[in-house]
Amino acid sequence: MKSTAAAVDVRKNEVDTDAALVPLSSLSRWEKGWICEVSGEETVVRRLLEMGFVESAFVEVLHEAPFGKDPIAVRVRGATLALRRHEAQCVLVRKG
Amino acid sequence: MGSVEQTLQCYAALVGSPNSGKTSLFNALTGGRQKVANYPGVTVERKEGQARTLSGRTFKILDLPGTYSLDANTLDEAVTRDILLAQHFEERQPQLLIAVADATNLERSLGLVLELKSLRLPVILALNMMDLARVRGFQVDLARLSRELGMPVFPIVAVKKQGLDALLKEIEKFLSLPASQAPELPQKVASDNNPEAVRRRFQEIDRILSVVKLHEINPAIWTDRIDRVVLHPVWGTLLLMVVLLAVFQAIFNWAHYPMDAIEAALGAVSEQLRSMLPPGFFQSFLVDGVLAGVGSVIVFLPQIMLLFFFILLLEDSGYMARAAFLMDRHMGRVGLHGRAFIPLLSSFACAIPGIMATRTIENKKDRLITILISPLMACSARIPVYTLLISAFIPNRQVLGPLKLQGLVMMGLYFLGVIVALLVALVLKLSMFRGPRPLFLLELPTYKWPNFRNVMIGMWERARLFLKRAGTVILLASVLVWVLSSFPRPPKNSPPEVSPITYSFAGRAGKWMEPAIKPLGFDWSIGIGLVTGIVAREVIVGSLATVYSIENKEEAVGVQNLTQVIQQRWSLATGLSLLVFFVFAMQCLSTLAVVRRETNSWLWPGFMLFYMTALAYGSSFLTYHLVQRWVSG
Repeated sequence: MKSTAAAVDVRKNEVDTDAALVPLSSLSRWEKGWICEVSGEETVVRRLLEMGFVESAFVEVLHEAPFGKDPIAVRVRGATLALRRHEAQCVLVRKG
Repeated sequence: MGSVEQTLQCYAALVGSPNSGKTSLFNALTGGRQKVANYPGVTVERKEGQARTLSGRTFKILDLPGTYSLDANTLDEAVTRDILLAQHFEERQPQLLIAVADATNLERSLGLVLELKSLRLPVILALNMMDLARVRGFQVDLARLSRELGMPVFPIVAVKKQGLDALLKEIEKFLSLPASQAPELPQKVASDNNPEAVRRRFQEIDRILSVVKLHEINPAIWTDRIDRVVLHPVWGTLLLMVVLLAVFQAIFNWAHYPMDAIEAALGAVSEQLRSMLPPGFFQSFLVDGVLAGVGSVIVFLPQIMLLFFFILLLEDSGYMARAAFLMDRHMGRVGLHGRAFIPLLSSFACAIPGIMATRTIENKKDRLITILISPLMACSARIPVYTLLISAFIPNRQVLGPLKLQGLVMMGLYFLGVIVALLVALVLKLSMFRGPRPLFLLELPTYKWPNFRNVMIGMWERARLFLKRAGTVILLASVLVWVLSSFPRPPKNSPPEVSPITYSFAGRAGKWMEPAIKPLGFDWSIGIGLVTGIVAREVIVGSLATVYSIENKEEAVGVQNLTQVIQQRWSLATGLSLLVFFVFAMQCLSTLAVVRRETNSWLWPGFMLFYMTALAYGSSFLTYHLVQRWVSG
């Protein structure tokens, strides 16, 4: 481990232990992170994976629909995808 | 073996995800020469066309439904998968696959390509939308990509017909392979689709892209900029309202010109026929039966074509997905999909194009619910009936400022339809269509200028489908109703003040059903109107005029007379009861015919007829008795 990166790593570790993984559904507009796990009901998971919600992909919430802020529009793997927060629960992200 | 047989044999299939521009390529390759039908037993659209190589050799192309994977999540995907895996009971397995991928988004679109490759069928990759990709700084080593994927790769711009020659040359190369060298088609390959396989595919994409990508593609700046307004909670919602208002204003205001022209032309033809043929059975059959039937079919065309013109424009530009995004919350409350709202709004013009527009809803249950409630939206055929009854029974006094009671009642009838439709959707969702909530997961594609040619081709397809599928049923039904209302003929000694229709089957049916409709405050004359009105709602106005023997050539005077006649003959309770009846009743054979075609079964039109009739009967009954009680004190 390089010493220059140590400070960053310490902070990252804190996030890991405190907030750890949060569901994508809990993110608000402009929040972003890395997808760490996609799990839940198999058909939903497969669909999410096919649409590009794969582990290690970067995801950012771009828009929230009016009235109840649901569904949300996110950028993942170069495309904008719309999904309901209900389904977004299956996607666990590490905020960054 | 003759070459003719060989060319007939060859069968290529286009495969690609939605928004990959697959349809544009299909249109560019086949021109107008395409056949649209349904796959047997399901409501998935089957598009087949004929294309020609540069040397003039023809081959068949099947445009498979747009899909992100070969997983059988939706009906579309199931069909695509079955055909590609040679498991479809009727379709032949294609010998050549042309994969269409969006060049602006390889990170996503290569997934399906890799999946296709695993089927071990010959695959050619057409990288579409190269122009947009280049503008965004796309740089990829295409030769290397081709080596990595193990398939020929061709950069194309389908809407501009660029790069098609090279693609066709490659197809030609495949076609001219002697039969012995043609690759053997795999039999029953299983496609591997557990989550792990999907993950591995994305890893493989990342690996390939890391070696072929020379320059990262820039984000679609304009799309992001436009989305900041279009998806904005306030501006986006306002814009959506403006767009919808504009679309439906256009449909209401423009469609009536061609519709009037069609009616005028039909009127002229029927005048001509009347003057040429001797009056009697044959003339009446031709004019009132056949010609009126033809008229009731083609009079829908302007609305259908206009609506689809706008739908295709919105779909092609990328706005439609955004509209679904904005509306999903509201529709979701009653268990509907965000995409359901365009078909439902279209149903205000006419349920028929509305029901045809439900094809954009992937999930079968969602689509059925939307189809089932769409006839509750007040379509334009109800307007003449509403107008007649309101002007006869609702006093036009001022209520609040410039608002008048008649207009308010009209608006109330529209709202009544909508509210009940949403309630019905909720009930259906909680009972018959129970089940996991369907996924709402859709791509918001980058904005594009709609391609005029594609929009026109799509519009014609819809018009043709309507004429072919619903037209025949509607025509037959109209002729049948003519027979029912003309036979048996009145006896020679019938008094002249009694309308001949009272002797016919329809007239008898009206009398026969009187006990059934008496609780609603309807008498046999309304019964006749209901029987003949099953062809189309507005027919009841003409029927009532016939029954009450109002022979007046000038239509305006006729309707005015009719208003007076029913004012004298019917009580207020009867009038309001009939008004409510028309809000809910399934008085439209054309709609039933379209539902039959779209759902491929008699069950759903039957169910629709049943629940709407029950609804109409119940609420008319309530209205009649409540109003009677209120009037009497």
